[in-house]
Amino acid sequence: MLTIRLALIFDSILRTMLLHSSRLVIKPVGWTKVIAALCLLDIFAVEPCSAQEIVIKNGQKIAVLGDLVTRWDATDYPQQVIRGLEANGIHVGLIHVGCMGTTDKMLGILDEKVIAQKPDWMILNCGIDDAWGNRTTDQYIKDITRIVEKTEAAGIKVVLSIATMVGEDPDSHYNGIIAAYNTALRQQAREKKWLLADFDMPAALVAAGGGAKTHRSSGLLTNGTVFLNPMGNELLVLAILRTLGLDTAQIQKARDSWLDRTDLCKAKAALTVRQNEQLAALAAKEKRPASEVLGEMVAKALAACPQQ
Amino acid sequence: MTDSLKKIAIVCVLLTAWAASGYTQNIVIKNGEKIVFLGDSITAIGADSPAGYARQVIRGLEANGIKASMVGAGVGGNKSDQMLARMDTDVVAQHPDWMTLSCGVNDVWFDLPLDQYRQNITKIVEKAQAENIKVVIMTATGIYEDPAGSKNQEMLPYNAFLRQLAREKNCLLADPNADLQAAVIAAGGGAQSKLGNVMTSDGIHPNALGNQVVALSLLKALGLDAVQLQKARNAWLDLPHLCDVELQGSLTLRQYEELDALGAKQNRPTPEIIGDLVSKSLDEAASLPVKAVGAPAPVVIEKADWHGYQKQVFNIDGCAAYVVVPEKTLPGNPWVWRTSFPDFQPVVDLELIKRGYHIGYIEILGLLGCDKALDLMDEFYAQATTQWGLAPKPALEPCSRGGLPAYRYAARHPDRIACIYGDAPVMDFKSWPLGYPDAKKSDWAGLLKDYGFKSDAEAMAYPFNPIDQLAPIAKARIPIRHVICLNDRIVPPEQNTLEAKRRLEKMGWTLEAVSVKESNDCDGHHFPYPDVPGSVRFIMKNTGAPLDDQK
Repeated sequence: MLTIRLALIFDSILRTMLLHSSRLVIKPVGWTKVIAALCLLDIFAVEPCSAQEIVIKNGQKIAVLGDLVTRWDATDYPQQVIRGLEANGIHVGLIHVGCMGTTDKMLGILDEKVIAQKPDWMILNCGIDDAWGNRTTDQYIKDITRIVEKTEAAGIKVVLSIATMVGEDPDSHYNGIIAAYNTALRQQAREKKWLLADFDMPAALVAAGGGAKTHRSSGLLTNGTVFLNPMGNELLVLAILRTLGLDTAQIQKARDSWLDRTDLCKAKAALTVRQNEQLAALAAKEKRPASEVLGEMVAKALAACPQQ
Repeated sequence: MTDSLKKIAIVCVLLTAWAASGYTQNIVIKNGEKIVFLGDSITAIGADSPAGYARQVIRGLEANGIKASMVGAGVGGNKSDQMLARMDTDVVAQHPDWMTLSCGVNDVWFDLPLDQYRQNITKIVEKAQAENIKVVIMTATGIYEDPAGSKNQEMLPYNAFLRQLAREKNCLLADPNADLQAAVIAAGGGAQSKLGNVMTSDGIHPNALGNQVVALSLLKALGLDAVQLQKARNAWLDLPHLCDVELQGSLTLRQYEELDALGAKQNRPTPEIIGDLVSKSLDEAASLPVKAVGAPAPVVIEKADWHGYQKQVFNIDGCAAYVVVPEKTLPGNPWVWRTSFPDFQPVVDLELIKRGYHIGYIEILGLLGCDKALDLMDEFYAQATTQWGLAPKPALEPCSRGGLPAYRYAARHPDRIACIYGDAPVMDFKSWPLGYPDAKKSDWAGLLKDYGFKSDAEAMAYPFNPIDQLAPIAKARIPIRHVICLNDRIVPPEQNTLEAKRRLEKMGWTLEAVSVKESNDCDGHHFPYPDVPGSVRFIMKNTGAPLDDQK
């Protein structure tokens, strides 16, 4: 079982962390190690939810249908999927379907926004808005099944993604709903032999020292709300690439292609209100977005730091 | 730019505005009371995030000695029907003393008809009141940071209804929509700005600064005066790591992973690690002379009388200016911006100030609308919308030669103008002063000098007369009404209003010309205004105020 394998992997990472702590040798266990472990151990290659070779071909088109997590700027996961494929010589087109909310709404626009565009593939990522709307697991799975069946009937192949989290507390009301969605989705994917980009987000949070009751209680995989931060994006992207059939070496190639780019990383800095106002005033003076001014400051500060 | 402007904070200016407007009342919420914050994702974030507006309200009250508790009842994507369905479980069952209601963004986004919205919101308010829960109605915050944008235009009647309902049901009204729009302008944002979103993270969800504005709107509605608001702000101003602020275009993923590893090592969230990195730079930047664009320092005012109302007189770069304050302001602080001859036939203005409008004026008439005049108007606008907190979109009111600055300003900032009501405005300086034989020669000479023309020929070839710059006004669909006299020889309608009308119609827009046939006064240029009630209604309708017959 995928989740059991994941749990074992994270358990081993956690043990490493604890071991170091008990010796008072505090060694960072950041995402480099977590992701490297995920790649090395080949955890996404689980039948029947992943392909065994790269199934997407040069020149094909992917439509990405999602809820509000599926945003459309250069830093978000659909663009990163494209970059990862490009690094492996596969150039594909991306169709921006847009943020469509709950699965029933997605079903409503499927013909016009997806099928009519004639993509070869569709990536489907949804669940946050359904959870917010307190929709039942049955409703969620029923809609997903209908979307997949309809899309496949039109000759379009589908990659599903697990639903990501609302904030980073696995015990919250909405994350409880999402966990139930994901359990049902995994089961349905196995039964129907769907391609499912899967990773255990709550376990990944624990591996990075997160969780509701820790000091690292937010901002590990999300920006504190529902939007994925660079690490969350990367985990989702890797899961999708793996599901599309990229092997470990190809995944590594994908990672290498984006690790040193500055246009894929939308991070956050925690400031005081006063500092935030000062930043806004500086941005206004320079007539530039505050995010850009802050980005430069961070880059300068990093350049001035001794290598860790 | 002076050192005293070093640390101007946008919302500080808003606070000053409220202080200047003499806003005083008692805090209505009592120690130990409970507030349910009902709303959509804006409220969910407002209650969950450390710098969220609901949390800031609680902090702000506490800073003023009132310990209130909060229940967050924001659910992402919710429209009014869904909030109504949640009333029993999410509000009534919590037994609160107060409920704040923030609803409308999703209703507009998902095209819920206004009638259904009215019914749902009315039921929500009535249900709360039936349970003795006091209600604070909040205007819907906005969709994208462009007040002239189509979704914000669609939102106008929704918010007008909320303001009306608050009056009808004796609810407190907080107006974050107006306050956020003013804050966007104060921060140098807006549709034409290069700054991107300044008060929201994505055009819709307020960021930490936007949340602060929303919190201050609510606290103001709850009765905090300017001093108490300042106390509230001081309470949260230096709380460490309160605001998560986005940055982009500089960090690589590899660097991010390193910072994240450092976070893991120190057992702290990565945004805190990044925040600490720039903390020193920001503190150093604070010692630089920085002035937030559009956020001027408060000016000293002198009080005078204008037809029985208080005129607050001040000075902008040597030009006299004033704001006349009504006895009781309308929600959203609508105003009329007179661009010339403010004491000539002020019959429409008097009707409006009686109904709660402010009147603004800056004496730039002699500059006949040259660029310097427009720059001074920019300064006046920033002052009026920040220090007085006036609405971001006034009704522009040119009379005669006041048409030159008014129309050129509207073309420069179409997103700032709600409508134009003109009395025979000059639309082309070739018509007046050049085309009027009895015009003073000094007017034309002054125009050449102020516009920087080296010759009459250069002035004649000038392509930016008001009549030549109607496209942005037509594109923004700014409603226009002119009163004219058909035998006006000073500002002939054929060369001005009627020519403008013809050109606008070619652009798919128009203006309403209300004419009198003739007048013997001042070559037909002075005439009794036709249909004054219609002009009053025109301005009220287009500035979002409730019409008299809708009260």
